[in-house]
Parts: sequence; structure tokens; C-alpha cells
Amino acid sequence: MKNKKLAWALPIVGAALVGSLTACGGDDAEVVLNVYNWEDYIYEGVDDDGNPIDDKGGVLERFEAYYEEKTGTKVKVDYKCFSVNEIMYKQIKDKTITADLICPSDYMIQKMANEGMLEEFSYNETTGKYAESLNNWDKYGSPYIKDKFASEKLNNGKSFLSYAVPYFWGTMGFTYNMDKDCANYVNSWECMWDSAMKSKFTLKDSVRDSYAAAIFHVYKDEIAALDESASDYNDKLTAIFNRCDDATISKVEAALKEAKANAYGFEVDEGKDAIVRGTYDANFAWSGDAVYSMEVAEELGVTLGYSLPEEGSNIWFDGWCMPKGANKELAEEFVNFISNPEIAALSMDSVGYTSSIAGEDIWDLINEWYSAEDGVAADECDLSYFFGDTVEGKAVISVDKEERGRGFDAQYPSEEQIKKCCVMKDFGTQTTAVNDMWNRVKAA
Amino acid sequence: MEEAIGRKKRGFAFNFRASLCIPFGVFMALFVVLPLFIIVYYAFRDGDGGFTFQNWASLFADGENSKVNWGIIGMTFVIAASTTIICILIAYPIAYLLANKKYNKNKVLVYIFLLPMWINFVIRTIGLKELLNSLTSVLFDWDITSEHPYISIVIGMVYDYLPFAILPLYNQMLKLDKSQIEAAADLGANPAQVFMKAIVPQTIPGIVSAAMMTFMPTMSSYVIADKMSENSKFIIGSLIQGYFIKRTDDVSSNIGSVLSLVMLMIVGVSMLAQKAFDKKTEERKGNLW
Repeated sequence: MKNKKLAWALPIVGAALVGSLTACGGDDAEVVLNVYNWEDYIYEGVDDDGNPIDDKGGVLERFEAYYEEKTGTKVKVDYKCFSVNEIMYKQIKDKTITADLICPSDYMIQKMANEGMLEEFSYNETTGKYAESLNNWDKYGSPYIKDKFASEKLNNGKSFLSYAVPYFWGTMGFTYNMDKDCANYVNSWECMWDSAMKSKFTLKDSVRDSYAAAIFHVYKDEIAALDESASDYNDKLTAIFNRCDDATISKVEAALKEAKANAYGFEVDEGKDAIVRGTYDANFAWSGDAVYSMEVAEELGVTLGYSLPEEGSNIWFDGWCMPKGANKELAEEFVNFISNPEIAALSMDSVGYTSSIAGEDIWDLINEWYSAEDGVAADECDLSYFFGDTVEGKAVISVDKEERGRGFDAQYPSEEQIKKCCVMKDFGTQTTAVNDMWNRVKAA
Repeated sequence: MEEAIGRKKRGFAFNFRASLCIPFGVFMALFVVLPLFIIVYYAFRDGDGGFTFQNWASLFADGENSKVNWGIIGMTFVIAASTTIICILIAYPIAYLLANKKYNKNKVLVYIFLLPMWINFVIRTIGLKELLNSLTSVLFDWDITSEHPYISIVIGMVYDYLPFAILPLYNQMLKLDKSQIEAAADLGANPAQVFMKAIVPQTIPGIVSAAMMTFMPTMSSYVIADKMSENSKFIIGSLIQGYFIKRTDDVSSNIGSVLSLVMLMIVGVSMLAQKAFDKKTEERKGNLW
């Protein structure tokens, strides 16, 4: 009898446990904002050891305080992270994650917008301005990024700005050890096919990025023949950059197989630490990771640099988007809040990627980082293409000659370099063909 | 006894001991049976949810693609089989020594061999990779993971799954019938004959389960292969992972499901083979006595 009682008690205890767990979820927030962002992609208000920096907290806490003060409504930000665009895409598509804001990359924004998965921001295509609710972006968004996003059109003829508010951006190149032989080769994508670099560099374990690098190799003659002074130079280069017809795919396949035989291996996130340890001399890297590697290496006395290959490269953007069914009013409020240069500078300072926001706070931050001390040989670098009139006077910074080709150049490429950087497009109907090609390369 | 029969007649009887199985049953249903049905469902659906055999065809009857896929499956099989054989060759003498009280007082040695299993295998694999690479770069001036990825995958797999081979063999060796071995020696068998005719036949069940314990996980693991080859070699696990999380084509999850089923079948067939083998050895034993 005793046993029997116990047995019946089990499920009751179980049910009580489950009940208490779910009960914990509720608090006094009146609205919830679901944000689904990249890992390590926002200021969290803590230092490297996890201790709070000040009592204001990270961006999320600051937003909660700001919103309550402004509207009197208590908001709770439910913040989750992803690490791969494709996984995030599937989760949003299958509705296994519901979010009011997501932060995909350019080609994924294009894909999701074209598939009708995204809500529109209050953006006016004819005036090229956001509504009052997003005026921070209109005031402080970099004019360069604004132009780039406004000119990228989707299938329905609307621009990227209708569906995405740019957040961070960067380029793709090589982090490399400046004291090694590879320094003579990494200024060109050709180094990946050069026997002098045998087993000294890595490829990205991401089809989109490695494909792009191979394009510069496959069409090097055609790219070299383009007229750099022509006004449509970037358009022509971008067209080549995004080629994915069957003939191109098989050329890229052959090129990637060759590069694979020459490379140390593939990596996607361990490379930024391995390059510091000296496992290889050059790492095919995104600019933000390069900044991270350079910082870590400096503490260990290793000098790393970042090279943006001279043929051109990819320029990528991550932007805030609202999936269908998002709380638009609240989401826009959040995006506007983090587009405030003061908040953007906090995130940029802790994340290491380059913010799409310009303005005095960001300008002060990079001056603090890179401005040369008096008396050292320095280069005058003109960033007015990026900062425009968001800062007082002309945005020119003098950078120590010794520091060129490092953090500053990774974060802010020159206008000359930017002209050669192309935006990635979604492969569209060729997606399967490209992915199958990648399987063949990986299996080779 | 009478009471038990009486209960049976009433049709329902609460049995406390049996009820302890309920959590297990629920767990199995939710996390083993249900996912299996979902995989089977996906394997026969197209992008819009209609019934189709196209996923199977696109994998196995599609010229270039199916050549690549069969190549990957074959390579995985070769890696798993060589890992299994090497594991058993290494584990067999170790298990024999461990089971011998002369060498293994207080079973300390057994714990030493099982100790690595207390550490997460990914961490162990990364550690092994760094160790091997520094070794080969000092000796030959190259990194084995980059220069000879297949060899380094097998080394990684053997390292990680060796305890799985030692344990069943060790258990079997503990049960060795010493008198049979002594009798063989007394009757004039040389050491090699003693080993082949008196020891090995007694340990066959241990060898079979050691083979299964290493073959099944090596067939389906991909993290070790990724780490030990600098992500440059695909085995079936990495292929499946790629279909599920790196690709966004309409049917990528469906094709991933097909591949998962194929892997499941390979593992299933090898388990059936083990069962059949077990039966055969039992029968033989029966005949012998």
C-alpha cells in the first residue's frame, strides 16, 4: 500500500515541478521585444571577466529604461543569439523562433525580403528617408552606407533600406603575420593558388565567402581589364563578382579544389585564434575578426596585419530586419535607440566590428584608437566618404605610418579600396547547384 | 500467487515496479521514436510537403552528385572499419593484461584507461590535434592534420573510441576459463596455439561487442573528423550536418533526412550482423558442451 501511494505521488510532484518552472517566466513587463542577433554583437555592459562596467547595464537594459521613461510602458527585451545566417533563416521560416528583430547579412536580407518573410520599416522610397520614429538613422547613418543600401534593389523594386536598417559592416581579406614571408603575397587573392603559400593559409568553411575569393581568381584577366576610372566600374565588378551560371560554377569548382590542395585547411571561427598561435601565417578573415586577432596578438607580442586584396573584395553588411508579424512600433523604437551614435559607439567599442553609424561619438572613438601621437610619421587619412557631414569639419585622421595595414585599415578601408568592394547577392535558383559544387569540393 | 492471478483476471493491475518504466517509455517515445518518424516523413516529402521519391533519386541516381555521395559514404565506411580493426588490435592485449590480477592489482589500471572518458571528447580531440601537430612539425616540419588528414582522422577516432573497445573485451577476459588454457598448454600446444585455439574462441563475444561499440559511433560522428582534418574531409556525418544547417535550398532538410536514414540502415545492418553472429557462437558453444 505504501508503495502505491508513493507511485501516485510521483507524477504529482513532477507536475508541480513543471508548473513552478513555467511560473518563473512571468514578471511585470507589459510588452516583450524578441531580438535575435549574432553572438557577441552588442554591448552587454560587462568587461572581459563578466563584471558590470557601470550601473546603467548593457544596451538592452538601457533600452528598457529609456522606453519606460519615454512611454511609461515597461518593456522586457528577450535576447537570443544565432551563429549562422542559414540556421536563423530556417528557424524563422519554420517559425521555431519568433522574433521582432533579426540581424541577417546582406544576401540573406535579399533572400528573406524576396521571399516575403520581412515586414517593411517606415521608409519613404521617394525621399529616401525613414519616418520620425527612425530619425536617428537618418541623422547619423553613414552617407556611404545609406547610398549603398538605397541603390541595392530587391525584386519588387524597393531598396534594401525598406527592409533593413544597417548595423555593422566590414570587408573580407587576410589576417596575416607581418613578419613572415606571406606578407609579400597576401595583397592578392592569387596567393591562394601560389605554391609559395603551400599549407600557410586557410580557406573559409563557408561556401559564399570561398566562392567569392575564387571568382577573383577565375576572372582575374577580365577584372584587370575593367576601367577603374569609369563611373560604372563597381557595377561591372559586382556583376562579375556575383556570377553563378553553370560554366562559372564549374570553373570555381576547379579553382577551389586547387586552392584546397594548397591550403592548410578550412575554418570558420577557430582561425581567428589559430593565426595568433601561429598555426598558419595567413587566415582568410572578415575584417572584424581581423581586428580581434590583431588585438589578442599584440598582447602576446605578435604583429598581425590585415590585407584587403588589390583586385577587390566583398563588402558585407548586417542589418536589422523585422520578420512578418513583428511588433513594428517597438522594433523601430529599438533600432532607433541603437542607431544613436552614443549607443552605437558603446557596441562598436566592445564588439570590434565597424558600425554603420557615423557622428561625433564614433569619430571620437576612432580618434582615440588610431590618432597618431604628435611627432611620429603619420598618414593623413580621409574618411569623409564615410562620415560626410555627420561630424564637424572634414573627417581626416592622421594615422601612425607604422600602424597602417592594421586595425585602422581593417575597420575603415580607403575610398579607393571601397570602390573595388562588391556586395554579395543571393544565388537564387542556382543555390542548389552551388551547394552541390561545395559538397564536391569538400569531398575532394 | 493467488492474488496475482486474481489481479490478472480483473484486466488492470497497478504494478509499482513496472510503473518505474514510464519515464523511460515517455523519453524513448518523445526523443527516439517520434524524431525517427519525423525523419522518415521528411525523407519522402518535397519542398511543398507533397509525397515524392525525388530526394532519394537526387542523392543516389544523379550522376556527379551521387558519385560524390557514394564516395563519402564509402570513405566513412573505410574510416570506421579501419578504426574498429585498429582499436581491437590495440585493445585486445591491453584488456588481457587488465584482466590479469598480476598486472592489475586493485583495478587501478582499468581506471587509468577509463580516465580520459571523464573529459569531454571534443576537448580531448582538440588536445590530441595540437599534440600531434607539434610532434609532426618538430619531426617532419608539417602538421599531420593538414598534410595527412585521413590518417589523422583515424588516429583521432582510435584515440577517442579505444575505451569503448577495451571495456567489453576486459569484461570478457575476466570470465576466461583458466583451466581450459592450462589444459591446452599441458597437452602440448605451443603459446601461439594456446592463444589461437584456447583464448581467442572464448573472447569472441567480447570482440564482437567491442567492434560494435567502436564501429557505430565512428560511422556517425563528424566532430572528430572535422577537427582532425581541419574541416577538409567530409564523412557522412558532416554531409548530413551540412544539409541540415548550412544549406537553405528548399529540400535540404529532406535530403539530410534521406542521408540520416541511410546511415541508420548501415548501423542497423551491422547490428543485425552482430545478432546473427552472437546466435552462431552460442549454438557452437552449445554443441561443444
